[in-house]
Amino acid sequence: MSDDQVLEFECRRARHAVHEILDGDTPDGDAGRWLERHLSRCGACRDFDADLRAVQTSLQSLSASRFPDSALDEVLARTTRRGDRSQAARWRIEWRSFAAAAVLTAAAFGLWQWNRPGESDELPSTVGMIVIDPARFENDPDYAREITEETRRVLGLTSRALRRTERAAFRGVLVDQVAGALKKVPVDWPEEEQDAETRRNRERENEL
Amino acid sequence: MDNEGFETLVREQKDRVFSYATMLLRNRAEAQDVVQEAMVRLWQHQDGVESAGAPMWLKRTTHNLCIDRLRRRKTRPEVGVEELEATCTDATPGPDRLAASDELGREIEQALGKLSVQDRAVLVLREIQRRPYGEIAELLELPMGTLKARLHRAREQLRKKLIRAGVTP
Repeated sequence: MSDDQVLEFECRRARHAVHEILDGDTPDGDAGRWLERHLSRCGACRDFDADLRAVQTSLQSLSASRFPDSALDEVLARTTRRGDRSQAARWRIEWRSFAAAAVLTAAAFGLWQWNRPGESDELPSTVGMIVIDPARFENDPDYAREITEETRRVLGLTSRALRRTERAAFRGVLVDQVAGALKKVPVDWPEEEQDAETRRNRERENEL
Repeated sequence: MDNEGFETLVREQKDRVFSYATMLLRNRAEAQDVVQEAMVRLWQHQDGVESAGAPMWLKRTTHNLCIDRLRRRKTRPEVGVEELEATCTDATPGPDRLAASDELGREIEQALGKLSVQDRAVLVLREIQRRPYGEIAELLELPMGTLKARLHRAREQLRKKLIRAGVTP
């Protein structure tokens, strides 16, 4: 092995040792002393050692860039805070639904009062008006729960009223008025058919 | 991971992953997009991610998204080199950044930008962010020997580029 080859081999070993020191691995006594000797007589490796140390120090002095707060807020709005917003939106939709239900309730109940049959029943004669405060509905869970319960109660009553209204309307309009009008229309039917038709009408009336 | 755990994690990791993405992409706006996307993905996959593994999940996702962006940039170059150089440096350096705002710091940032992505990633993680070797090996999915060889090569490449640029480290 020539002197140059020896030097090249030693330089390679020395540079590897320099990297290891920068990696945080301290060479043991003999290896450390050998490196010191090599660096003292090899200018290129001395420069290499000095340059890499300077590069490492400079790199370490580069500080972290700050992630903008607005960017983090956007992430949170799309993740953890999305649920809160959905909840608020849901409340807003719900109070509108309740308001719509209250209007429908009033309309339906008015219809029932108008068509109210004479028979006695357990339905109250008035339901009352549900007035919803939207801001309170969104912010006060107890109030929202109370309104929800009240609306459910009114909707239950209205549903029963609607069923009764339907029956009363059917009886009043179809049976009484239409059948009465039909009786006034002169129809030249064979007697058997008239009897059969009359029977069927009676059966329908009884079913009702 | 619940809401609180997620918020704590992203607050802890945000600057680190953002710096990493900025150094890799050399573009702050793109780095911001990537980090936001990685955070949202972590949130979407929170059921399948253990709390202890969540920081690594976030870093790896950020790294992968950066690599995707760089690949896309190669096929569809939309951002000019000048723009990349200009946007790499923090526009509003804080007090802790003053050390890097001198000429050598700028030269080093520019030289870093000229390294390959693999070399840049290793140098940023080890020399700038001072992450443990084990963590870097896990993040980049490299055996320890390969990681150290790459780090040594990256240091020497950076030195060569600085010397070529007329900068004495």
